[in-house]
Amino acid sequence: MEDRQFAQTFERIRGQVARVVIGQDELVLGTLVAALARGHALVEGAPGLGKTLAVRTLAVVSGTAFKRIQFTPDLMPSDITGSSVYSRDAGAFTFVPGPIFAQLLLADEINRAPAKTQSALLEAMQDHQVTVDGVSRPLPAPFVVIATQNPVESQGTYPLPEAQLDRFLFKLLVGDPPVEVERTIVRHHADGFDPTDLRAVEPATSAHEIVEMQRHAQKVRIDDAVVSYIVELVRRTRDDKAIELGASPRASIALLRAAQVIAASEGRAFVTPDDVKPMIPAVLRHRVMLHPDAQLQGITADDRIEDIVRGVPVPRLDRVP
Amino acid sequence: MTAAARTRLVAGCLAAGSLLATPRTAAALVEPSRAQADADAATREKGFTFCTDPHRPLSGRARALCGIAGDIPSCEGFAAACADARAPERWVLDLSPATRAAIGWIVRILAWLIVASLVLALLVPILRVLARSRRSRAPVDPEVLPTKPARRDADVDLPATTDEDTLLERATEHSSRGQYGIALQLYLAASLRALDKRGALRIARDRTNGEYVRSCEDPDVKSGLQDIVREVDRVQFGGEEATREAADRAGRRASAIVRGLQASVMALAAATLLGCGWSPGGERRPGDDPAGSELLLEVLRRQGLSAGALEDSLASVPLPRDGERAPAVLVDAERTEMDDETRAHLLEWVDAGGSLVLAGAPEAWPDELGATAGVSTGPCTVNARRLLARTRPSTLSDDDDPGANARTRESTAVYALAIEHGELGTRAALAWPKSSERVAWFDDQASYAAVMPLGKGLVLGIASDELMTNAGLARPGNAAAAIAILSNADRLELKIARPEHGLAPPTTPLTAMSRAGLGLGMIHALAAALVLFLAAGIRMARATPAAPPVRRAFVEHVEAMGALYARTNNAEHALAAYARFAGERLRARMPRGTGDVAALLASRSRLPLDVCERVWKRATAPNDGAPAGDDLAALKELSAVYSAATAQDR
Repeated sequence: MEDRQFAQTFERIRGQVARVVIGQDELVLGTLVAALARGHALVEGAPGLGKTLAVRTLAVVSGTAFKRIQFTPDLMPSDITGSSVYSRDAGAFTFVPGPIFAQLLLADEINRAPAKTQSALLEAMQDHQVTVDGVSRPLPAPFVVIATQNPVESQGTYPLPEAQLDRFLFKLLVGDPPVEVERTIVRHHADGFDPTDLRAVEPATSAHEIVEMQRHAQKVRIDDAVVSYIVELVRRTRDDKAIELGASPRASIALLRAAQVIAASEGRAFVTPDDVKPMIPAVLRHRVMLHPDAQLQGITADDRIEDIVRGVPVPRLDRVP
Repeated sequence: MTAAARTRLVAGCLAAGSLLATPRTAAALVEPSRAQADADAATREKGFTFCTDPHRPLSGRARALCGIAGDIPSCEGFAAACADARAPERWVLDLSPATRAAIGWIVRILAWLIVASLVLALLVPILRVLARSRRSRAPVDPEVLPTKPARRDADVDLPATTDEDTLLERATEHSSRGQYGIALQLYLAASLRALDKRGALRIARDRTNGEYVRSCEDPDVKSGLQDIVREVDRVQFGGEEATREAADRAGRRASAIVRGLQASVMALAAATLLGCGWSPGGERRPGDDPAGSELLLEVLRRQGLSAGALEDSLASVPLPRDGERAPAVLVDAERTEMDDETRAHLLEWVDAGGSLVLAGAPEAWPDELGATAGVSTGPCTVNARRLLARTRPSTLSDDDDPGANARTRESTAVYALAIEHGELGTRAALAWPKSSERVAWFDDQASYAAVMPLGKGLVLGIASDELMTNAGLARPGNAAAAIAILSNADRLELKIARPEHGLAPPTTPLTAMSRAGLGLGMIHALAAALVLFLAAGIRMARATPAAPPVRRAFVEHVEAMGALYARTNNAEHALAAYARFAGERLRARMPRGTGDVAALLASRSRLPLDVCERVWKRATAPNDGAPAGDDLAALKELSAVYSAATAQDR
């Protein structure tokens, strides 16, 4: 795949999704970049902001097999992974795959299920395989989990464990749309748009091509200076006094992957700091745990990340001979 | 012998005696009869073009002389200029009054728009800087967060040289040595420096090249900067080899950005400089202004007098020593506006023996002279008599002098019998006290010029300045009348004051600049300096030290705890915590041997005991984990009771 072809396909997918999901450009970009970076995205926002619609539309546009799991407090891990069922005809246990065997999985309201159920996704998200009854079964490629969750303060929710959070490439925040955008959305529905019927949305690519794009993005060159920039950014989260637990090296890798996709989406074969910087909040905000004092003062992870970014110099010419 | 013959004989004898007794004066030199010939010759020989090709557009004073343009021989050029000045453009005449009024309004609106644009141009950079500084303030608590102050814009990690020209030069040097990669970096640094100085973007060490491009507020250079950034990124991060073509391309872009700034600064400076000295109508030549005084100077010189321009301010003319005959000073009061200090000094100078010629409207003369303007009702012909001699009692010393007026009253003047006639364009006349002596008058006997003794000196007042102008003097007969009138100044030397001589010398450099017409420019320069300081200088300032850490107040702690409880919807825990707090405080106040908190609450708050018991019981009820629903209401109730109980302690 050529650089230009990647950029064109990327733009085509984004444009198609944005036609349906109005006013959520960051959400669309984030989910798409996460998918192409072989990552997963956690989308947080109040109900009714178009999170589910965005993922469903992305599935249609990307031509991937889509499954949805509605997380509830009584959901069991086997309801996600599948289980072995005794077959009277065969006289043996046969594996019935769960909904996780999809290319694009929507884990809706993931924080409504207890931690035990949430952890059923751990192996799948990290190793792209599921182990049931001692047998590991690979998941189809591409495999992308887009999970949505309501704000943690909502009643009846279980916070995601750190290990789970760390496996999400991005945590995307969805806010209320501006009044003009909201007006457009309502107008769109008044003109006959039915969010349950996405047949009018045409696929812009295929699952095979998505895999090709994932491979292409991984080949994008990254200079040592940019690597150092990424590492320094992540390391600063560990030294920050307001942060109790900083980001892991997995965050650095996530930042690298995301920047590679952004660079490729612009038809470039190399990463610049400008590709890294916009991805930093989405990559880091769910990976840092604030000190309780900072939380009491109303400081958010995004505030600290912004300060950290401001303190790290962008790689540039330092000395002139 | 008749009485009249006797009078004439006495006058003749007196005149002859006076001429022999008095020193040689202007009166003895000048010859009005040849003044016209002198004027014609001077105009011809000196090439004065005020008649044939006057400077256009005509000045206001020249336009005031247009009434006599037709009466001056061979003065078609002046007449034509007057006609042009009076006649509006043809297309203006074709417009309807409503259209002309509308154009007038449009012009006014445009003028106001320009003013508003200038004000905005001044305000926008300031507001932008203020907004930036507000944005850059991070809402951090020094107790928890790092106290290291945020680095300022000056801490950028661009090359240490901040001068964009130097950076450009160094980039070119590296490019010529084949070090294209470094050259590209330097071209980018030079462009960023120039744009930062211009206020189009803000350099900061945490900003990426892409952010510079996106934040650049100058759309004209944005694409150029983007091209440079693209080349730099390709080399620095893409690992590609920098080429000569890329360096040359970036060099051209960078030069355009840097030189664009310099060109705009130079254009601004040029506009300012040209605006100060520019005047419409092209270059001026001596004698091309009908209202000028070049012809008068030439005629006076040809009459044998020493005439020239005054060198210093009127306020600094040295007082004549006793017996000294200082040069007469001619002041056109309509051109030379005098301040109070100058007026006072001039009167003192005259009182000390100076001879002052004041031409122009009497309203502009010093009030102390008591002259008022009048109007002749007859024809515009003015009659002037030439002074032959003025006798002065030379033996009278200051010690004998009972008063200056007493002495000057003793002086007598002898005039020539011949009367010179001139033609004026106006009938401006002069009314002066009786102590004055009329030397020029209209046919209706209204005074046109008069001499008034003042102290040891005299003031020759002329009701208008027409005869002092080139055009007025060129009219047939007027040169003779002017010479006759000016002979009454009774001096061999005459100095003519320029318009700027009416003001006293400046006492401070600011006054000097203001008087030189640079006052507005000075204000603009100060405003520009202020804007530059606010837009750029502040950002170069040293970073202010961070505020010392302060401990959080107890109230803030309580508020933070409350906010935490609110976020976690844990009202029952909040109630239990508050009840523990209130219980501890109340038990500390309890008398020895008692332990009933509700009773203490009731006794101190003066509320019914059963109310206090109910509130306290609810607050301290065991928490089984299930929300009761009324926790917040109970908490508020306990807070009210506790506040009432402890009010006397505060």
